[in-house]
Amino acid sequence: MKIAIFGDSFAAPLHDSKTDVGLKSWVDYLSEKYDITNYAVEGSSLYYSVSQFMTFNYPYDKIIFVTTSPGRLYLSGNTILEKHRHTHLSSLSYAEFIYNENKNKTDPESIEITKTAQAVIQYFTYIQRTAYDKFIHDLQIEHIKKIRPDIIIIPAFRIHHHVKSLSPCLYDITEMENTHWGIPLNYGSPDDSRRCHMSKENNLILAGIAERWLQGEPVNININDFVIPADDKSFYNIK
Amino acid sequence: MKVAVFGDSFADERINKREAGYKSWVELLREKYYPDLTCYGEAGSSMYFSYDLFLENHEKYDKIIFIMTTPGRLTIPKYIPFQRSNINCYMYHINSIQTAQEHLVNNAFLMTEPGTQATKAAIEYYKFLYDPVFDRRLHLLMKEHILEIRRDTVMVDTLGQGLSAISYYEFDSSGSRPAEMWKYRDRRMCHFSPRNNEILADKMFEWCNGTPVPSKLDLNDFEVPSKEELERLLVHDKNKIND
Repeated sequence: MKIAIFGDSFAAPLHDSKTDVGLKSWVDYLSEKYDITNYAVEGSSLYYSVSQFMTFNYPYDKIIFVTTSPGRLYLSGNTILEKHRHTHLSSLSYAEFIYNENKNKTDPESIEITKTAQAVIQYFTYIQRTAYDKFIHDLQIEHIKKIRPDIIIIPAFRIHHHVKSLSPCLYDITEMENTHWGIPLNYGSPDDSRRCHMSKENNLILAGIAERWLQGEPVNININDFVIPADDKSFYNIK
Repeated sequence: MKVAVFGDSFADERINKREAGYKSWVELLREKYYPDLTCYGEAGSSMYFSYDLFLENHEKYDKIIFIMTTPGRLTIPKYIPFQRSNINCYMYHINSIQTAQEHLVNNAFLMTEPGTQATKAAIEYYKFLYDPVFDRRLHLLMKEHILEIRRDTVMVDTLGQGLSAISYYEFDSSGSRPAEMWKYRDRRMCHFSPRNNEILADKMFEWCNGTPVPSKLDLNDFEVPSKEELERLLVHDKNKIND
């Protein structure tokens, strides 16, 4: 069975900037049994994944689509951003990080990146409309469902305006682990070595559950299926 | 029958009212056929602005006329206090980098500080972030969604050989956009001459009664106004910025 996976960091392969400490993600576990192509990218927007899906979904028997949060930006077609891997300036905090990293540099590419990051900051401050973002999020999900009615959609985040989306999401697993370790719920250090934001146990559990979804069971994330990590947070470089 | 009209300047019965001195197709449609017609059209507005109004209000109406604007427009969120007074000028709708620049040059005195900052942010958005493919795709998704909810919507496009072609036809029988158009301030009601507003009102009535809206409007159904009439309604504006 040929499977394609689309989505954000909750499904993405290990980023090249991170050290491989030998931990496996739920996608890695599934790859041991199935022929999987992973199109997921850290920090990417729903639109990015939908575009990838529109281009590449056809040859696959099954599609797993992890839906990210609404409102992320995808800056396609800018060669400088592509070269520096900054096309997914998906949040205000990340844009501010990129801006601060580049603002004092004087080479033309850094100047371009600084200007773009500044435009993103201005966008999130003055132009972004959360209601609009939620609407287009839902429209895009409905659209991909029409193209592939058999698509397995796994929400990474809760979308509060939408009653159906109040059902649990992958982020709940991260939150449960963070609560256990007493770290902020939205903890997001680049040093965190958890794959797909989950401990090794929960990646393994999710792989097993995803396999049932691949066999036709309806998607339902039950937080009680997941466990408190056995290791201390330091095992994952969490301070 | 209760009718609602949604859209941009092609469906705004207020803009240019004083200068033009004649009735738009919206008013004519109300007068001749549908006394209980509510117009939500707003000049310069984005597709999402009208789509959002449609979602909130469509259930109150027996018939919907939806004028689809061009992709790529922004509406600044309502939580940003934008204008100093509630004048008949919708500067929170920004449809291009040129519109934003014009607002900053010509209308800065009408804007609040956050409004000015938002307008500057819009310029940066168009320069660095705007993705026409993304925008076009969402535009079509919104259109499809409207037709899913209300299959009987009279959906009229402005692009292609839509309403904008009639507007251009008044200058040029080809229906394509005249090169010098950007130099003029258009004072026509809904961008049409008085006669073409009358013709369009009748066509809207036919479309509301089941005649399908053609994918390409037949320009021969409309009329070219006299040169004098056009000169009265199109005012050369030295402050306009070339788009």
